[in-house]
Amino acid sequence: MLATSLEIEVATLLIGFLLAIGYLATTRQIKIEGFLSTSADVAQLSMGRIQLLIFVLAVSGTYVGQLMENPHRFPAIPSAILLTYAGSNATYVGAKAGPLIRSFLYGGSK
Amino acid sequence: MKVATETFAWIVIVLIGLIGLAIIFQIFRGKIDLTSLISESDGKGSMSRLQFLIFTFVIAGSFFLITISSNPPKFPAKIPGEVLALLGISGGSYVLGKGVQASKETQVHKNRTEVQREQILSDERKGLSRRASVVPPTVGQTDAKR
Repeated sequence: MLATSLEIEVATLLIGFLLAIGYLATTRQIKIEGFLSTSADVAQLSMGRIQLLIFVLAVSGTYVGQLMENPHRFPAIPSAILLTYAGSNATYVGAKAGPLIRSFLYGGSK
Repeated sequence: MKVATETFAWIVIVLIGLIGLAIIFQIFRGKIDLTSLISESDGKGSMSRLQFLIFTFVIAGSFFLITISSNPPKFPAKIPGEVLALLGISGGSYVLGKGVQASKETQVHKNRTEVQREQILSDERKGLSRRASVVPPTVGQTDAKR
């Protein structure tokens, strides 16, 4: 009885938080403008952001898919996937830090 | 002893449940502001925040699923390094992104301050030269005119 109540409670809270965030995002109460654009220009798409979004969706989708197949243990994540994902993140952070590094090297006002 | 433990467990479950439900209810009512949940301080959407949010839910969900799938429900004895690495990568990227954003803002602030300082100095210089041009003639100059 105790365990079942706890399971229902945790499931309700997790789904509730997900629904709340989903609801706010779809009703535009969570700001998502400029998600895939460069920091400097809203109209210009950023390759670093697009590739990261693809990798995040692919890795999380694969993880959830494997978990659904066998929910008794954590899914095995090959180290190649981890490395690729880390590389994708490094690309994103590098692209984000690029203008900053350039301004440090060649002067701030340029 | 068993009754006391069960009572304590029930109190904790009800308390956590009520707090959680209150938070969700307030989010739906708009009393808890989540406008900037996945955006930077400049108002633009942030990919690092989004991926951190996604992986938090994915890993928390997987913990929950694995815990309830064993009979009786049991917290996993060992958390694989790969799962921690996955969460670590997204968390690390979030922290680095935040650091880069903060540095950018500092740089912008510094540039703006420098521009303002230059503007003030230039205004002061203009004021000084204007004052110098309207300086009244000296006594010697007025005598010479007479």
